[in-house]
Amino acid sequence: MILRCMIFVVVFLLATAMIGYNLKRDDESPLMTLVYGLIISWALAFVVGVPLIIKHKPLSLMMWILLALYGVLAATGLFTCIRKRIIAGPKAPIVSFKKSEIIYLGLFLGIVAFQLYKAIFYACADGDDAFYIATARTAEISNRMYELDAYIGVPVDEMPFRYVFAPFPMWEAVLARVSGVHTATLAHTILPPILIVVTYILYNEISKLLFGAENREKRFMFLTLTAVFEMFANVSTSTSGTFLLTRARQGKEALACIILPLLFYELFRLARAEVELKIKDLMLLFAAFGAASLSSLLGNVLAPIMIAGAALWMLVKRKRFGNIVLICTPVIISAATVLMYLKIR
Amino acid sequence: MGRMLDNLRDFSGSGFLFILLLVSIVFLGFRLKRGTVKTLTVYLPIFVLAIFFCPLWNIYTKNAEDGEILYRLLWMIPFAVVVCSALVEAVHMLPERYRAVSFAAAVLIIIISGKYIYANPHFYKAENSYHVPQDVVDICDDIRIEGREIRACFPIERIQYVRQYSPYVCLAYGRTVLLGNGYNDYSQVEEFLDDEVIDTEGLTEELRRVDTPYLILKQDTEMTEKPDKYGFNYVKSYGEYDLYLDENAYLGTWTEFTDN
Repeated sequence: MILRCMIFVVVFLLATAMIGYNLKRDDESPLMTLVYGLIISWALAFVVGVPLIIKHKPLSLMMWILLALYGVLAATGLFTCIRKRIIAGPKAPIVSFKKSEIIYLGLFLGIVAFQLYKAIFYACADGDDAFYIATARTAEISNRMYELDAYIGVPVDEMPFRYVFAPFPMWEAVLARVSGVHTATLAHTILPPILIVVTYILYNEISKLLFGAENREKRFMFLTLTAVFEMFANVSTSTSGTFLLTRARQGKEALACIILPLLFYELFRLARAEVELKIKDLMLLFAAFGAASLSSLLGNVLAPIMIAGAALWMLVKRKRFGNIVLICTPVIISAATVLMYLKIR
Repeated sequence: MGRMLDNLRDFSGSGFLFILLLVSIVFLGFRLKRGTVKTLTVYLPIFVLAIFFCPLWNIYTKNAEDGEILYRLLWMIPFAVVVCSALVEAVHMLPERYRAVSFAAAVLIIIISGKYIYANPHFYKAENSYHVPQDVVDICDDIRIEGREIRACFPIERIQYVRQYSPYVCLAYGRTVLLGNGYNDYSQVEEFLDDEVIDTEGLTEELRRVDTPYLILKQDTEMTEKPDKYGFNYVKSYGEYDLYLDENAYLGTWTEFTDN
């Protein structure tokens, strides 16, 4: 079982990174491929999953379609990566670390390692798992999506559409089916450390925008403080910090700790850019909106609000009008999802 | 405004982290020059707070079932980013020789304002990779029948784990009884389990009515009579739980059942 889990983690991370390479920009850390890989995977799971669920199709069909799409994207990502490596010039030498930088980085990595240990070896009881994880496990075994009551196991009279339109558990069910790892193990032991690390990868990238990539002391101090902050964010069950360290297996956590911070990061980049929006930026926004829809129905409200804020600011700052229109286009995904939900429920 | 303040109260708990956020916004507002960083760490949080306190939400909360989750609007504020970048700026305002001390003070501010997550009583050492109590795993494995599902009645503190581990085990009642929205119309089992002293006759009758051959009870559960008086015989103990089986239950597969 442990071997199977380890093989799954290695294959999953490699495949995710290759998929994510399609959206990675040249000035970003290679670790960002993991963030983008997850975002693309989630967006595809949403686009493929929702119609299949509504049509009462089996989970296995969703699995095969997703595997085909993930395979194609991983291949194109790998191809792009190899091509860039071949044409790339010599890498810039790494500037040696100062003592203070090593201390802050060490502190940060130590705190994150402690959080990962807690995520793997400690359980945190959360009642919502009785729905989300049981839904995934039921789908994995029965091959039917949202047709059985997750709580008691009887067939449902009507699908729970509020959850059908945010089928994050089905993505987990697909992973469990492909890997042969028990859904509960996947959701409680394997995914949480991955999602926690992905959040900190994003914080690292945000720190570069805040303080400049070269200001490593400030960046590592910032990262250490964020790691401490998340650990002490348990002032209520509702903060994103609490979700990160106690519920990193649910769609809501993905929304609060990865998707919304990614939008924050992307808007940060776009706000700084004076040039025309690139196709990768637009694709990333579409993927982020798809991922937001997969994670929670409320994602269809929060992501557009963030875009609205950015568009408003760009209007005030008289940025390129074409860019403003373009960044608003992914809202179509949220609008279509909400309209479909209101019509069907 | 009332419902949104309730949401804010639920979200911010003691309120110290929220106050820290507000102080950070003000500090960064004065400290940072105009630019993207200021826009995203100062104006974006203000924009989100303005949206959160928009009076229109009150109209929404009057008609919506999910009015209590509007605190999630606050997820758009990157709390950690705003607070920690303000603290980093504050630390770097001081001369370098005080940096270690001021960094320690920044950590202390976070610790004092917040609440340690691992002190949460819901955290406990996992007994297995499923993060499901081992007694639930053992019971589910033992009562499973190849080729069909089986229904069981677990104590309320265990129901959330059962189907995360095994969808082959159906339940006589589920988590909906805890959610207070009362749509558990499958059985009335939980009404018997709610009583201080369980009416054994009523409970076993109800279990048979809803085809539930397995009953799991905590050993210190008070009952009017032993379950075996009504045909639910003791099978085995799992930690602090006892497993009972209906002597009239059919435990073969459905194929065997229909063949006979």
